[in-house]
Amino acid sequence: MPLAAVRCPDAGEFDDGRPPAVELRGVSVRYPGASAGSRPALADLSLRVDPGETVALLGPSGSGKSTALKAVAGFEQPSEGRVLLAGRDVTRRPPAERGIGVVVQQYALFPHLRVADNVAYGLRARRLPRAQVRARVGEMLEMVGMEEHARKLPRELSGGQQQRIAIARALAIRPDVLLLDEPLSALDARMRQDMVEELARLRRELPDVAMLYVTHDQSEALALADRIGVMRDGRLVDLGTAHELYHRPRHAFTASFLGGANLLDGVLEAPGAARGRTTHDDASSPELTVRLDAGGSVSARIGDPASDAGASGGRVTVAVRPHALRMLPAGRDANEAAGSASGLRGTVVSVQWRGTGHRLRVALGGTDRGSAGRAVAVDLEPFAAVPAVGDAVVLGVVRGEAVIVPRDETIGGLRVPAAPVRPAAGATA
Amino acid sequence: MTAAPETPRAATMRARARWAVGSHGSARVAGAERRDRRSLRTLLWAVPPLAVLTAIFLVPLAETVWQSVSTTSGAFAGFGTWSQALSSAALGRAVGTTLWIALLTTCGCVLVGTFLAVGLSFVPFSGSRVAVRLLEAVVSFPSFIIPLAFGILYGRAGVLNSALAGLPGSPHVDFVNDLPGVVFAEIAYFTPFVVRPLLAVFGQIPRELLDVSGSLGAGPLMTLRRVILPDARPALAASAGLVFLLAMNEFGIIMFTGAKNVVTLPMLVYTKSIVTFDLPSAAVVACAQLALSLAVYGLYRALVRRLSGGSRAAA
Repeated sequence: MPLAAVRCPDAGEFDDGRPPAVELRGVSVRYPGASAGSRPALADLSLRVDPGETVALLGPSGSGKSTALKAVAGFEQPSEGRVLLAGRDVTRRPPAERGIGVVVQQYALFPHLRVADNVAYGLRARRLPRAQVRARVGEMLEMVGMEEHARKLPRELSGGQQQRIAIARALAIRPDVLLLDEPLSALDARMRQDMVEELARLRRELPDVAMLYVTHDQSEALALADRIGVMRDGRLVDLGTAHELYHRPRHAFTASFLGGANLLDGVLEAPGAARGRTTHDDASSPELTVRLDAGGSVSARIGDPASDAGASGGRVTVAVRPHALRMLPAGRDANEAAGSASGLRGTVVSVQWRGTGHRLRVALGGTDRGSAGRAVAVDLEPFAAVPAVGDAVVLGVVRGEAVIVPRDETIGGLRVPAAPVRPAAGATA
Repeated sequence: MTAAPETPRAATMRARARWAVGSHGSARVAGAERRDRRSLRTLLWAVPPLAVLTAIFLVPLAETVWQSVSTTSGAFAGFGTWSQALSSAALGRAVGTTLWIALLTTCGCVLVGTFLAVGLSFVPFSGSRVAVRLLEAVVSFPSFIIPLAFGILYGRAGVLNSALAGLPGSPHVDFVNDLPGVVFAEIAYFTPFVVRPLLAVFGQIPRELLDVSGSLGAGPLMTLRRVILPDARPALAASAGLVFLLAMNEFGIIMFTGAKNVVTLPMLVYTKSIVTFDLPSAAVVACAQLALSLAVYGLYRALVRRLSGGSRAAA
C-alpha cells in the first residue's frame, strides 16, 4: 500500500514563525504483548496541526486514528518517533504535563462529581484560587449553554448535555490543543447534528485552539475539519483539505471511504499519456479513457497528477461517486447524454429508498442479480424515474467526476469483479 | 320421595344452559385447581430448607436463649442470670475489647487492603497475578495459621528474637501475645476480604476516566482521591463491614495468640461454658454477642444500601 500522500508540506515552522501546535514525527505505537511480526497499531505517522487549525483523522475501526490521538495525549507511549507540542518534545512526558484538553467518546465525566466540580477538576489540579475557579467554571458553562445544570450529577443529564460538559471541562484549562476522540458517536443522529453545529461555533469562538478530531463519520470530518487525514491499517494514507480529498482522491481507499465511491477496475487506453503529469491544476489534467474490466469505457481525470497512473501496464481503478452516475434513457447514446462514459450497461439488482432519493445497485456488464454487494451504487436524481429490480439500464458518468486512482487490490466490498470482461451487446468499447 | 320426571323441554333448556357456561366455567375450575396444586407444590418445596434451617439454626438459638433463663433441671429460672451477667464488669470489658479489636482490625485492613489493591491494579508489575492468587489463597487458610506463623517469627522464642539476642543489649520484640499481636494477625488474615472486592471494582473503572484525569493535570494521588476511591466507596464500605463482623466474632486467632489479657466476647463465652461450666451465663453472653452482631449487620446493610444507591453514575 502506498504511504501517506501528504499534500501539504509537513516540516518547518508555521508562516507566522510559530511552531506547529502538534507535530508527530514518524510515530509508531506497538501495544505490549503484540507479536514481533504483527502490524503496529500506528505506523510511522507524521502529521502537523497548526495553531487554530482543525485536522480530522478519518478511518474505519482499527485504522489507528484513536491510537494516534492517544499518542498525542500521552495515554500511549510511542515505540518510535517523537511527539512535539508547540515545538517542545513531550514524547516521554506524562499526560498531566502536556496541558491538552481531551474529549472522549463516552464523555468520561466523573460520576460522583457535580457538573460544576467536573468542569473545575482541571483548575483545581492546577491549584488556581477558588474565586478564579468559580469564575472560569461559570464562563465555561455559559459557553456551552449549561449554566442551569451546574448542580446536577452527570447521570441526570442527557448524552448531548454530558458531551457539552466534557467539552467545557476540557476547555476550562485553556489548552492550546483540544483532542476529540469520536466525541459524537454515542449520540443519536439528531443530537449529533446539533453538536456538529455546536462544535463549529466553538471553533469560531476559539480561533487559536488547534483541534485534532478523530472520527469514522465523514460528515463530521467534512463539516469541521480544515484538513482531513484518512487512515487505514495504522497508516495515514491521504491528507488534504476536504475538497482535495473529495474531488481528487489520490488513493482508492480515500475515494471509497470518503464519499463511498464506486471503484471500477480497468486499463488505460493510452498508458503513455498519463506519464509525466506533475501539475496539481485540475484544468491542465486532461481526461483519459479507461476501458473497464466490467465492460464499456469511461473518461476520467488522474486524481494524483504526481503519480504514475500508466505504470503496471496502465491497469488503474476509476473512482466514481454514486451521485455522479446517471441512468440514461434506454436507446439513447451514452456519449450524447453524459459525455464521459459509454457501454456502461447493467441490471438493477436492488432499489433502496433513502428518504431524500433512491439508491440503486446495478450489476455492470451482465445480469448478476444475486450479487448486489459487487454492483455499483447509483444515486438517482430527485424526481427521476425509478426502475424496477431486474430492469436493464444504461449508465453515464457526469463529466469531470470520474477520477483515476492507483489500483489497490486490498480494498474489497465496492469493487466490481475485474474478470471476466463481458462487453454487453452494443458496447462501444 | 322420588323426583318428578323432567319434561323434554326442561331437559333441553338445562342442556343448553350447561353448554352456554360450559367451556369458560370448566376452564375456570381447572385453573383454580392448577393454582391450588402449584401452591401446594411450592409449600412442599419450602419444607426441606425450612426444616434444615430450624434444625441447624433456630433450635440451637432457642436452646441458647432457654439456657440463659432455665435451671439445670430445665425449669424456668427467671431473668436473674441476665441481670447478673449484664451488670458484670467482665461483660462490659469484653464488649469494649471486642469492638476495639474489630475497629482496629477494620481500619488496618482497609488501609493495607486499599494500598495493595491500588498497587496490584494500577501499578502493574510482573508477578502481580501471582500476588493476587496468593492473597486469595489466604482466605482458604484456617485462621489459626496466622498467629502460629506470627509466634514462630516474632514470638518470645521466635526467629526474630533469636536473631536479635545476638546483638548488643539483647533487644527483643514482644507483641505477639497481646492485643497488638491479635490485631496484626487479624489484619493479616482479613485483608484479602478487602483486596478482592476492591480489585473487582478497580477493574471496572473505565480507563478513560483515569486518562482524562491525567490530561487535566491531576497527579496519581489526586486521581486516586478524586476518581478511584469515590468509585470504590460502596465496595470499601461493604468489605469494611464484613471485616468488622468477622473480627468481632473471631475466636481462633485470639485463642492461638495466647493473649491471656485479651478477653473478647467469644473468649468470654468459651471461658464461661468450657472452663467454668457456667452455661446460663455463657448463654447470656452469647445472646449479647448475637444482638451486637445483628445490630452491626443492620448498620452495615443500611450503609451499603445508601452508598451503592448514590455514588455510581453513568460514565
